[in-house]
Amino acid sequence: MEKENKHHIAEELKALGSSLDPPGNDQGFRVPEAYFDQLHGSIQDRIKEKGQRQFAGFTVPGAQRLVPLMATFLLALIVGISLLWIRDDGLNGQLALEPDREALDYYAMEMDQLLLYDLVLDSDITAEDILFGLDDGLGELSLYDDELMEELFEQSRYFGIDSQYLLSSLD
Amino acid sequence: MKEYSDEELLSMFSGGDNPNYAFNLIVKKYQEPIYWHVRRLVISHDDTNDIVQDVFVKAWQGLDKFRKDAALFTWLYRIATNEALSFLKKKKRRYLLPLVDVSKQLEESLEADVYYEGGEMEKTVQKAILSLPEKQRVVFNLRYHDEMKYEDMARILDTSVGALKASYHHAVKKIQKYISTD
Repeated sequence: MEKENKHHIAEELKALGSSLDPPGNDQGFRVPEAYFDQLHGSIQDRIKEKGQRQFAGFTVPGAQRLVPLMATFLLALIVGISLLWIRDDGLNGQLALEPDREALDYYAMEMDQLLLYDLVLDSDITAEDILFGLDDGLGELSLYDDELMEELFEQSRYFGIDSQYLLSSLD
Repeated sequence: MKEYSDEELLSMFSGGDNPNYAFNLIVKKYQEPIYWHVRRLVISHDDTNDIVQDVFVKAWQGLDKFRKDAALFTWLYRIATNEALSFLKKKKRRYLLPLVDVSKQLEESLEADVYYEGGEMEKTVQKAILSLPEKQRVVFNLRYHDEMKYEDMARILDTSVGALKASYHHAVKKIQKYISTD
């Protein structure tokens, strides 16, 4: 570091009408004895200490910013997987239904207005016919007949079909 | 002991077998000017000691990325200035102090510091310097105490030479006024 000529600084002060002494006065500041003989040692110790702390914590530059990002990513991943699982396992957006109930829900969901008319409003078919039609390939579905009927009523209400009319059609 | 130039120290650090040794030489070369620069800003020896250690730890961490076309001492002074100013800013925030009270608190630190032995005149000058806004104080100290050229100051503080001259002139006038009315 090349210093400015003291004379220039003194001249500058004089030109500004200052009564300050020329530079060089330590202004009364002191340091503990042999402080500067030990300072570089303290600095080396601090560097080692920091290095060990970083190694112990496996920190890398920018790691502090990475942690919340990673946490957000993991959270988003978990939520995403959960949503996919819900979609696959409970087609009505419900969680973990028992397998047969899932099948019923599937049929209830798939039952559009035309199917309902076909199944219910045709006076020639009976409830057994409907159940038989829905039962196709579902094995133990008969255990849930009541639930299926409830589903049919619900669907009919949804499509504005009077439940009495539905029952009379089924008889 | 041979005094190495900054270029020699930097090439020893980046190309040599023992960067620790090269860095130790850098610390030994600059520890005193950096210490005094920080001490004049934060006043207390204990605070200065902490800050100076942090300055060199940061220098150690960043030295391999240091641009060789810049001067080592201006880079170290820049780190030291930033560390000292951010220490004062934290102090201000911690105690919710306005600028005037910060300089009052620094005056109290001056009075209380066992490593300050200034006489009445020296104390008056110090108090006058402490009454300056922080950045003006940095400019005054670099020019008056560190006897630095305006061009080097401009590199440290990232300001034009003209602005630094104006700032220094204002600072000298304010100090003169303080001393005259005290």
